[in-house]
Amino acid sequence: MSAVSTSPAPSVAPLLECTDVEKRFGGVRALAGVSLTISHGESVGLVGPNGSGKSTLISILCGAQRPTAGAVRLDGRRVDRLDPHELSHLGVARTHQIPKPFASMTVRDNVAVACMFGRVGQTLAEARSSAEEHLDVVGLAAQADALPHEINLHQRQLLELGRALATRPTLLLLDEVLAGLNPAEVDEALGVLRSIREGGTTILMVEHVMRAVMGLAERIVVLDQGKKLADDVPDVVMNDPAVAEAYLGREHGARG
Amino acid sequence: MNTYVQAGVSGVMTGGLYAVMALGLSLTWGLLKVINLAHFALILGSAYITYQVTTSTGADPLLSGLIVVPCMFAIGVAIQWVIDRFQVDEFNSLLLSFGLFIIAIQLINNIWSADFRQIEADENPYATRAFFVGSIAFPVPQLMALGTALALAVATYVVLRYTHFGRALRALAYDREIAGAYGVDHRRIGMLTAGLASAMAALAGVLIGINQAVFPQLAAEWVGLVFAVVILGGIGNLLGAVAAGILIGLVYSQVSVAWDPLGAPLVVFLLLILALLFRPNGLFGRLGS
Amino acid sequence: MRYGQLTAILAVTAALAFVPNLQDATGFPVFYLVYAYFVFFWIAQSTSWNILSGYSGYFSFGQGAFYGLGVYAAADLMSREGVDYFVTIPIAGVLGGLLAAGVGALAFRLGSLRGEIFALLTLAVTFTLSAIAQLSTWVDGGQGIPVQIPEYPAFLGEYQDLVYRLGLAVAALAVLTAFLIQNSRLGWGLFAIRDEEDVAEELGVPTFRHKMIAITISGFLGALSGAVAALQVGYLTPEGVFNLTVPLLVVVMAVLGGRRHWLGPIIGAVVIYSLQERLTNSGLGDWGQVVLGGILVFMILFAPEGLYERIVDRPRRAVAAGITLVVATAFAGVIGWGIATDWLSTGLIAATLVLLVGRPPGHARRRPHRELAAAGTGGVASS
Repeated sequence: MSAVSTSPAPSVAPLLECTDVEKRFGGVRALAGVSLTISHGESVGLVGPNGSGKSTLISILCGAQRPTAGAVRLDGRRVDRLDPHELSHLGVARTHQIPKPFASMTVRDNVAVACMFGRVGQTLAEARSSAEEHLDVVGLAAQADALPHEINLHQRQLLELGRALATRPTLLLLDEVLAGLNPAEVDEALGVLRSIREGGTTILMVEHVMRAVMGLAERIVVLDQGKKLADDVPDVVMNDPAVAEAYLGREHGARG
Repeated sequence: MNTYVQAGVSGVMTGGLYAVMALGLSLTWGLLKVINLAHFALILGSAYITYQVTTSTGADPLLSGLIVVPCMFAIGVAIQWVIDRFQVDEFNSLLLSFGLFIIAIQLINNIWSADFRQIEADENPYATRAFFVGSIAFPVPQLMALGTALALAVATYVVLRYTHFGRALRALAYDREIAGAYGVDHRRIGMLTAGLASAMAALAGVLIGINQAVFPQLAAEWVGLVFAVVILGGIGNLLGAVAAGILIGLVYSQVSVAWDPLGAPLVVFLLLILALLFRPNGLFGRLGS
Repeated sequence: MRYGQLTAILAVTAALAFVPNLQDATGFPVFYLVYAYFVFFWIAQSTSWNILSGYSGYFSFGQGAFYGLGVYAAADLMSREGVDYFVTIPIAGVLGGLLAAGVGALAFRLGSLRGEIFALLTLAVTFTLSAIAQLSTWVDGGQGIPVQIPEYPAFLGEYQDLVYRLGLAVAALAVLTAFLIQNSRLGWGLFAIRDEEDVAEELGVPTFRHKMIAITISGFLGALSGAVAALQVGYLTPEGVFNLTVPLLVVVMAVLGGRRHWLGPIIGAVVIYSLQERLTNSGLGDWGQVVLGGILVFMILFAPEGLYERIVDRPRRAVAAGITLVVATAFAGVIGWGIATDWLSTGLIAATLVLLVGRPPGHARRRPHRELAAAGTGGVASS
């Protein structure tokens, strides 16, 4: 992978811009002045040891939490005070670390809800047929009529992904979408993610599985204890001694 | 003037009683994420049993505690066991406990009728006794309620803070999955906690039986009050519950005297609304213990 | 749009509207019209409860408040202000909707405790309204107020015919509303909220708005039904109106019948009301609430999905239940066990038992979220 800088050309506005985002929970400071820029079509990895604030940042970006200080801008527009459903209509979608499907609905209907209420809201009839297409993308077409408790973890994670995609996002936030998968499943999921990226969707993926991030991300952002430690192409970041000490030094087998 | 002071004193002590009633509920709600309406039925049942045992045997009312506390502990454990065994989710457990509440109240009605029941003064060694500071009375039953509330809150705080069981329970409340990974058996701990909460309910019932007359609909009157205490004190915050109980008892008594006894629940309810709007985690913070 | 079901609802409503004419013609006891009115009342109440609590999962104890508000508004406007009765009905509905919207605006934004706080808040509203009713002499100072029979145009028929038809109209309105919501995007949004509210919000469901719509409709319909009920209540007292009867019954009816479909509350209302009447007539009135609580406990533990889902998922069992209904009713009639409504209740109870026996339908059995998480988690969560 070449060491080409990935900072956006000056004439193209970034898709996502975080400026000094801070988040406190009582006395705990989960995020301390994090600034981050993501351009249209980029794939960015977000890594860091436990407690570094990755999930908190994701929550703020999708609107589930509000920052205590700082701003978040989407296409230049300030969005950090919006409700999650408004952010969804602006094109932000997320997956959850532990899949949270709608337990009483079939796999197809889970995705159909996303079709109905996402950025391009469809009617009930349209939504069900669109859902089938999205299930094809993630490879769950055969399970369309199953209920969530009838499919395994890997399939539920794919459902989580399919559902997020069905809202037709411009920015896809992936929260450890590969956690708990075996290497074969990881490769399969990566294939899906690559095709999503080729479709033009901007991706921010939080991951522990280094192999996945290296394989997909053009740029890696490292967080440690709520602060941004590094923000560059993978080769540079992985050889950064500060990163090695903070992250790799504490995690056994992280290079695996 | 004296009326207000007396009302204030009584209010504070009655507040202790509300706190005892609220402690168990706050515990299960804060730590197990279960709202158990049957808690109120257990309190009422304990009060009735205290009445019946004392009236039938002439024994000291406090001795009824020896019967009801283990009984209610067992019932609390049983209810929690059922919830676990049938995988009843949060909202359905609310409905379930509602059903149990209704059954219990009706059974009490059928056994004892809707009439007021109170331990006769000559059978109740505590009823007429009181300490006096000047002309202000400190009735013994109410003092006992306050004392019990403080003792229970402190004891529970110590257990939660300093024992292995307490730490496990707090870990469980924080994140069930992580706690499970560290070996915390949520079922056994859940049942034990539910049992303890019900034991507290039993104590509250005994104190009520000593303190006042009981009738079947009394339990329904408690729900709003106790709920207010739990919320204002901070869910899971036991010391907060004691403080909130005293506060609410004070407000209740003063409003009753200054305005109208019927206005008291209204004012408490309004306080609750204000708290929910501006301090949803209670006046003293949640899970402070 | 499910035109078949819609037509069926309208057709049944139209047919039922003519029953009073039938009564005039054949002279069967007016008692049956009154009985039917009460069934309509409970259908309206349980259906309107279910629109919010069943569809969205926000369990409400407050149905009694909407009902009570409707009764008092109608009675008070009529007797105190001299408002024409038929005008009081929609006014009562609007008041109910406003109260509901107020409660919703307060409770639906409260972060992570929404569901539980909402439930207990609604309970507190019920009791507080009672305190207000007793306190305020503007209403009646705590003594009861008699409800006089209003004037109405002669062409509307006998008094009981009028009450019957009004009750039918409100019930039909409630059922139609539930049907339309269930098959709309609003309904899907509510179902998503019930399963995973935060996820629904992130996927684009405007959860606050949907819940507000549901609760406002629920309050409107509940109060509407209450206003009609004012005609059947001779004498209003706060304790008689603001007690736990309505909240308890609507919950048991919806839980028994099924909370995910508009037919559920109807089934529940018919079965429970007939059962309750039966118990009262047999002198077992004191055990009524024990039975109701017992049914609630049983259903939550063994059949939380309700009767409707069982009917749909096991067609052969449903047919068996239908046959049992007819046979048991006929049998009770032949041996003369009580009056006609008692025969019907016997049949309904028998049919219900047939449906409930045995394991729950396979795919309708939902699993609680934490079981899903526990079953699937490979690694330990991190941030």
